[in-house]
Amino acid sequence: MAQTEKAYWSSRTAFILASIGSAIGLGNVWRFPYICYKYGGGAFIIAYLVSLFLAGIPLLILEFALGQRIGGSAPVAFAKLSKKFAWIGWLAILVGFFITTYYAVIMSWAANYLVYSFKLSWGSDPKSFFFDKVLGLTDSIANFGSIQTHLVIGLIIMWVWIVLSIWKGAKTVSKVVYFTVTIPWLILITLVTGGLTLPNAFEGIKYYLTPKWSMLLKPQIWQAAFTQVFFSLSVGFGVMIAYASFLPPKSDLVNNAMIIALSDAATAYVGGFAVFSVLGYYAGLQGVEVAKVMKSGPELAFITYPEIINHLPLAPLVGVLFFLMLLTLAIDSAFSLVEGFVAGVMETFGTRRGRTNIFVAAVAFLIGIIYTTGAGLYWLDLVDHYMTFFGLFAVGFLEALVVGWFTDTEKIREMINAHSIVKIGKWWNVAVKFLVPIASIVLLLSSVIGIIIKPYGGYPRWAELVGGWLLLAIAVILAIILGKQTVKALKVKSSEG
Amino acid sequence: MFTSPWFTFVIASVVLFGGIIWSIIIAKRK
Repeated sequence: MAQTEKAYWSSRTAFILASIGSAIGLGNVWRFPYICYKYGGGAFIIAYLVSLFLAGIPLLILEFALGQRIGGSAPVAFAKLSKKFAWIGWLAILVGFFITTYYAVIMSWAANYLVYSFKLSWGSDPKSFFFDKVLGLTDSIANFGSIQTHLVIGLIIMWVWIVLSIWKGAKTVSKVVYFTVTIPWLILITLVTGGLTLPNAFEGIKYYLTPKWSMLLKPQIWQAAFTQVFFSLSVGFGVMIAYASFLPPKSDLVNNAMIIALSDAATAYVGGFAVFSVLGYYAGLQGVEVAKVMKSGPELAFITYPEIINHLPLAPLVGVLFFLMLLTLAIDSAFSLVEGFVAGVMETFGTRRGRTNIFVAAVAFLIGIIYTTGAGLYWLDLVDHYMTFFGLFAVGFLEALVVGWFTDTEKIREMINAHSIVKIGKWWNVAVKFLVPIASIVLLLSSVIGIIIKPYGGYPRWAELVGGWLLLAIAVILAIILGKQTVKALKVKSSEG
Repeated sequence: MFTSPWFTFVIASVVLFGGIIWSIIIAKRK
């Protein structure tokens, strides 16, 4: 394997900020509040915290250990555990790569909306504006319509931003995250403060926080809580493995994992106040229940929020702040996914960083053009469902299975504890051996069964085959081929060394 | 009390922000 330029974090704070930035994304603002409302308000928050401590934090510690103690990007770390596991590392970063191809398109939407905010271009009908003017949405997934030039321009800008953010790996990221992590937090606090001063804001907050304890007895709430934890922490994409590989040898992994996981959860929790306060206000204006105006995902950000912004004082400023927050929330997640992939490519093929960055970005950009067509939203929705529900849970399951059952878990725990102030007990072994694999396989199987019974989103079966199963099959086949390459590269390196 | 939104507010705030502050204090002591 050729020598590659390995960079380290400039400080512990830089690593923590980068990992928090990776974990915090659009989901903290547009998914968590909705799921919370849907599954019992405050009861869901409690279920979420329990899931975080039982599965999320142990899995995060596991990924840090793989990257820092075992060493290397996801493919290399798994190859070092055993030659036959290298493909799992590749599967993780390939899933992350496919996600970035459409995540950058969502960022392009937000970038366009940032510009629209100055003149409130969405007017009095944000729904038609979003679907017809911005997306040029067609009537079906088979009808691609035309490529939306403004989205392609936005996409190019987003990819330039992503590549520049990781240009020299951890060295550049160490500087960038001081801005991209703190800016969205400052804006979030501003939006929460402003939101809470609106009339009827507390009616919205009541919807958010009032616990319906009976929900805790339903398996769906636990399924949703574990899913949200998996989604939110950026585990299962090889990102945290790559980031931890840039840490110096004596780092406290347990403490880092606690700060990062809790900060991510705290952001989602505070994000709920930003969303529900304005929904309470909007519901009051409309004279309806908060439930009637509650939305999630792109609909919340690009239709409901602009509609609400129309009624707020200093509307253009609120719009600019809101979409700038979305952009800065998303950029860290996007470049961390790319960095995880780039690190794997560099360590396997010995390629130079600059060229690898550009090559990966160019391929991802070209794939991303599909999502800028008139059928882009449909494909994005479909691919997202398959990549997150199947890719993420499958990788989470495989990771815990490998470490829990095919390696000496106790030895890994001792390695983690060697430099940690707060030592993790044997409960971690139980979590990694049983809890994480069981939780992820249950989530995976329930998703598969759900899809078999009813096609996701009502899309035709052929579209599911292409955008779902075919893409997953490509990811698995590529992972197996590239895994062999990583093993070869490690052999060459050890024979040279 | 247990069915009040304030209950969730106190529990979640203490666990999340208390946990972050505690973890940072521990890290600084090292």
